[in-house]
Amino acid sequence: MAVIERGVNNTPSLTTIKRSPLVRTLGAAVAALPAYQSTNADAPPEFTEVGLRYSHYSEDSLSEDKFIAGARGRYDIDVTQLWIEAPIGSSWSIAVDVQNDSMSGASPWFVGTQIDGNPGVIMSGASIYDNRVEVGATTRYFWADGNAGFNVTQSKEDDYEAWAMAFDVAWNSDDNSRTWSASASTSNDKVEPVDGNIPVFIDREDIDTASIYFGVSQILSSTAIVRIGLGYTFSEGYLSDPYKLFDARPDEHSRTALSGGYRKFFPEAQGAIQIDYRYYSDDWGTDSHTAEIAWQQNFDRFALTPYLRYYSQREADFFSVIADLDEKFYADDFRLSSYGAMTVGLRSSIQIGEWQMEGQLERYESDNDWGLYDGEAAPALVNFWRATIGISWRFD
Amino acid sequence: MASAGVLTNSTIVTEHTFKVMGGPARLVIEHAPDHAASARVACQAVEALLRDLEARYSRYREDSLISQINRLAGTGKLTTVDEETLALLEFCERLWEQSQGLFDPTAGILRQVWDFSRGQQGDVSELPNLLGKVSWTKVVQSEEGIALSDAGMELDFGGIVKEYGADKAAQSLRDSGFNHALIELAGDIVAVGNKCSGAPWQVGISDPDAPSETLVTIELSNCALATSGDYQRFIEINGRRYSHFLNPHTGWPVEGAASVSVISDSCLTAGAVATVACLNASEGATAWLTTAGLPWLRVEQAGECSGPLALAHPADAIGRN
Amino acid sequence: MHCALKFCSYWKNKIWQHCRLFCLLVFIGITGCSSLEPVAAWERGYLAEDAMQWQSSTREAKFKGHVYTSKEASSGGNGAAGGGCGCN
Repeated sequence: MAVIERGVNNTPSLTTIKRSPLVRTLGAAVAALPAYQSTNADAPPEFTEVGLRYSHYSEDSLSEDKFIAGARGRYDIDVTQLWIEAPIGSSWSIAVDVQNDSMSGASPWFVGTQIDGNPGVIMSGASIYDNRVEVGATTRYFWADGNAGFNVTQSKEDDYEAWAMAFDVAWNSDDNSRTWSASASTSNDKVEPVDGNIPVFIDREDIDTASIYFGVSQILSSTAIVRIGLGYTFSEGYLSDPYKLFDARPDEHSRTALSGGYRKFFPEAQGAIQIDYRYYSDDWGTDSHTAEIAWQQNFDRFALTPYLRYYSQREADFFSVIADLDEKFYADDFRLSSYGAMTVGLRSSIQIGEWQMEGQLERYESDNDWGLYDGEAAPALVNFWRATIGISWRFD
Repeated sequence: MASAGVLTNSTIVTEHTFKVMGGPARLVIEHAPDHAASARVACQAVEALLRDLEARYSRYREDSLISQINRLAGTGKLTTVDEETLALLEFCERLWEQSQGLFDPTAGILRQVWDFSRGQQGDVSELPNLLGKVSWTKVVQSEEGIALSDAGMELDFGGIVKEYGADKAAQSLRDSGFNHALIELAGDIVAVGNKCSGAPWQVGISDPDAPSETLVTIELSNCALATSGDYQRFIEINGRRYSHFLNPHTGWPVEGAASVSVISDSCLTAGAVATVACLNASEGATAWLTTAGLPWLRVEQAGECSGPLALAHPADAIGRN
Repeated sequence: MHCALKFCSYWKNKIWQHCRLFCLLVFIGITGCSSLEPVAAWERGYLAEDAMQWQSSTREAKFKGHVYTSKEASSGGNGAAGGGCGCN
């Protein structure tokens, strides 16, 4: 609510007025009237939505100076997402998601020493082709003060199969200014590596994961909202990477993530600033900071969102640039090394009647020097481009 | 009556005017071209809900809930009421309390003495008798319903139902997905969001002496402006102008403002604050409005403007005589 | 089942530190926010804007989570974890 003071002097703006006890007393009685009851109460979507989204993800080839052998071209992934979401009756909704990832390219096999003494990457030989299909269904129940959802997802590849189940619930405080949310999930992954260009040494292994999350969001004003959340995930089973030559990780992994977010809308500018932060820590010695900032600018029926993401992690205890096979646990996986990474991106969406279209482009680059933590540079750090286009249609 | 006009290529305006609660009503919705049909439906829904409020709360209608309560006055019989009515009664109670009894929904019978339509004073000797029947404390409320304890008492929601209706209309439009709209019910205005362009809605407070003239233009976005006071209705006694607001303690018209306008987040609150300001004589009104702390404009019988909103209008209009 | 038991024992030991911090933040937040003026239903237009949502879209959140989880050591922060995949 705002009285906008354009060319108006001394006009108190309602946004800056602290409500007087008198107005508050009246306001309490006003709030009890049906016309002022929150209609933002949780309710299923009003429309059925069908959508299709295509993304292309492309990693830069490994640079010559860090490459020893194999194929230099790294992963290219085409991701197609298809979904339908529909209300069922007045208090239920259902969503079905199908995602297909089609990947090709090579991945780092192990890190060795180049002739000049610097570490270099031996990539898996020729390009690997793999296809992953994920199918998920979510049902959600809505009541006046909240909603609860149940999701089952299966993900299947030649060499990997995962089943996951998740339950989440959100409930609003009496005045609808605070929302508590909690979720719990379990998953069972089966790894059945296939011999391709590189030999693998396991037959079939399992990973069991359990995860919980608890969060709260609070409306600060008619234009600002904040949230924090705490999540904990525990996995056990075969957590090493079967496609890496020197990779022996503990068979348990316990992770916590503390996250926060803030959104502020600026009515004069018709835009909002979006800030998110996450602190992550696990029992493999890794911890990390992730900060994201975005500005969404609304135009008539068009929105443009430039965004930036910074990420920095500390290396795992058992990481070394060249795996140390004398240790009980060892890995040369760049993903366990110390580094920092930046993502720069632009997202846009346009609404035309019942149709919504979106487009997004982002660049991710990582570098040991950009990190906040000490640790040697892994040669296989990844840079990638990602582009997405999508369309969705809403109907009664 | 509904009409649609093109604003820009992507925004059109649906307007709907009708009469309700004894005055003109106007709805303006800005929306995308493909929502024209649903905008018309939303306008019809608003009109229907306002007619429903009128049917329930008008004291002029024999079959209204209010008339039923009034007919049973003094009989001791309770009238069962719905939750919305209970909540409105609760609001009256709060306002009665806060205004030290100046706002009293049972004060309507005092009009039997004062004939504002002819600007004449009636038989003042009737006042003591009538004042005995003016008391919010004689409205009996229980779980089974409500009753007026003395015969001849009357309940009148006239002072709040129109404002409440404007808010209800706004909520109805929001529920239908229209977030750029303006509702005008004879001087009570609710702005739903901004215009589609992002600019606030511009509304005028009209000059009490010349209603077609705009005294102050105010920009509203997501809030309400209520104006109390009826410029045509006043009484002159011994050369002094009295407003049509009647003091429930004395039974006499208030020697107060011609009109008071107040901005608040709900039209009901704005209207309540403005009405009580009109029930106060000048000094009391200023104190009341200051306590409320909402932006206000008061126009005196003689035409002077005062209040925070008065500073907003062009200098030549301040202190106009 | 075994995993669930382990989960509980780790929960007790490892997460406690974060849990305390989280509870402290929530407590400070709630105490601080208790003096906030409640925002009425009709004032929530801006909060309902797409720009004010925690995720730009469900599918983007899923995609993004998937990419970062498979390329970085960290995960979580946005609800309970989903199932894994063999994407490296």
